[in-house]
Amino acid sequence: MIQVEHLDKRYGDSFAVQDLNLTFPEGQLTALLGPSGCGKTTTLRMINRLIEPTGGRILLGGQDTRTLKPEALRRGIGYVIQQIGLFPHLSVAQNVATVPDLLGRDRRATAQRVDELLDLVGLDPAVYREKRPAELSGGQAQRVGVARALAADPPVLLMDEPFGALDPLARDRLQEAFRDIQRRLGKTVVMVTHDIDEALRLGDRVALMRGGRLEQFGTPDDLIHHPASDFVRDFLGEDATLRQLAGRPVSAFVRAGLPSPGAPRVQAGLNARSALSVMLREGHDTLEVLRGEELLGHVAWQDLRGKGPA
Amino acid sequence: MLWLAALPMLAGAWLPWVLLRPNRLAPGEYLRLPPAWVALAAVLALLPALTGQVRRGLVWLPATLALLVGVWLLGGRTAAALVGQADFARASAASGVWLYLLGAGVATYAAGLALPERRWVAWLWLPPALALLLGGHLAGWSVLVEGRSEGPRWAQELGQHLRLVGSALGLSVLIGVPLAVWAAGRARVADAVLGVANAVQTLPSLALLGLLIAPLSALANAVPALREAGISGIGVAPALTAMTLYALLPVLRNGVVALRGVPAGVIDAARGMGMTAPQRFWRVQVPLALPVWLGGVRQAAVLLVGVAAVAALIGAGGLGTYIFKGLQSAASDLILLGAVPAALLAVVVDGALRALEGWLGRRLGRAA
Repeated sequence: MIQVEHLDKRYGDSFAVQDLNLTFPEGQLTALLGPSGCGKTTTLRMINRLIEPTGGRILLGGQDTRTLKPEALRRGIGYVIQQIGLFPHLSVAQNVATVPDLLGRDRRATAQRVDELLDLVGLDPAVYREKRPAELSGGQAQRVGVARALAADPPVLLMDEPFGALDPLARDRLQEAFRDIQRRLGKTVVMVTHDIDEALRLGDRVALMRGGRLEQFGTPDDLIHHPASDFVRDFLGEDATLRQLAGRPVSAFVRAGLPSPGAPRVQAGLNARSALSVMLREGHDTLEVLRGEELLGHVAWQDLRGKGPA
Repeated sequence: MLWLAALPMLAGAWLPWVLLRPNRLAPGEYLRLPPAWVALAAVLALLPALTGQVRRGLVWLPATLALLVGVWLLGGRTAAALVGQADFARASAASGVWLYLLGAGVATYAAGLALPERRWVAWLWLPPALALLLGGHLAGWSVLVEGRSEGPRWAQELGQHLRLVGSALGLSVLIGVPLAVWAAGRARVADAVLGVANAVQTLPSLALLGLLIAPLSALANAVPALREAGISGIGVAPALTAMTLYALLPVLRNGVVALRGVPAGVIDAARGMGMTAPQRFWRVQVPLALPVWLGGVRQAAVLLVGVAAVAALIGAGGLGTYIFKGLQSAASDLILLGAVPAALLAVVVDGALRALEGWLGRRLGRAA
């Protein structure tokens, strides 16, 4: 759990972040969302003290971060950035082992850990262990970046636009892979993004910032269905609901039982926005949802409104 | 390029090969190659270009051969010319030799360029040529005759030359490396430092040496302790000062450029993962900056080999001594005795440091 209390960052007369109060819940992914210059990256970098706050305090697991040396604090927090920042002169394995090495962990245990992590992020250790960063595609490099951040098994992960520099295809895949990883590991993640889709799809919570202040904090559903202000509504846009649906499979909305006769059939893996599109195209209010040949149940358009995944 | 190299070689085969003079300074007569040798040399002149038409990868073979035959003929013809002559007689290399070797050298270099994976084939001529030199085959060549009579003094001057270059390079690295590290983090400081170093470099080396004479002799007069330590307006002190200032620019400039060239994302990641400032410097910045930085040290070293030759003018010694002595007495053999080793030294230093750079670059993942 990360608690941010009355956090200020002032440059001269202007505030980059002003009186920010926020609690990032344990084991959940919180998206820090907002237009550029809203203070989201500054907030993130104050958590691991890459930027020192001018006021307020940050508690990490109840401990004031100022009581630790910055380097010691950072070694206990995973850090992933948009530019990836792999060390080009080191192999993939050496890159991943950076923080365990800084912590003086046993070399052999680290080597094993590196292989596990490469597996976790979907890279075959035998193939990728000895490669140089220059030999990797952008998506592969950021997978290594994520593995490197997780190497010392930190409870907290800070991510600054982690998928921002990737092409759309690689981004989708990596978002998907990361969601699986997060589901398994349950880290406390703070992810800065200006991409609304990304925030709505990946975030358990979304903190929307504007001009250094917190505009709204809540689940994606909260923000979409109960926007705290016109700014929130405008920022998310009229099609926020569709964006959210696009990030979920239709199976998450399935209700047991038989649909009305003649309902079109879709597969469970289809995303919910496409399912809605099928309803519109076929002129039907319900769909039959199958996994392979097996009937899972049905879904009606009312079901697609704002219900979270089971 | 290969046909272009054949031209001077053909001309060289036909032009006089040896200048025979009764003594070091007297006018002499020009001797050509015997007709059979002219024919062989002409064939060898055309062979690299002809090979290039068929198999570019094999050009190195005739080119190296031509170069070696040129060196071998130089030794053979000078020795032949001296038969029956008095001890003072001198047999020098004439225009033919120079043109022929120039052409063969260009062809060899071109052969190396044609094989990017095996650049070293361009250097295959060096061991046999050295064997000819050390085996005494070239003993009749006037430059070596001079060299023999100079003997230990020549070795001393070569040593002095190397000492000058080494000391100035060491000093400029000692000063330039910390300065570059300090300046690289501060944009305005970096500009100022590079500006000053640039200004020094635009001064002609001779002028810089001259400029240092007055302040250094004044300094030596004012502080007797310095004078006793060997500092004065002429000699080694001003030469070393000027050379160090000269070498500072490439070391500084490449250092600043290399350190600033380390990607910001890499530094940010290093910081964010909890590396301390010294850890960031030694584990990240230095390895990433080193190949480019070493390029600056190489430029400085090559520059210094040249400037050290000029330093002889103010009494610092070195191979330049022979160049200026030769110029004063119009003895071209003496000039060559200083100039040829100086030029070779520059080439060897450049090649060695370049190889080191390439190796480091590959090891550190830059050139991947």
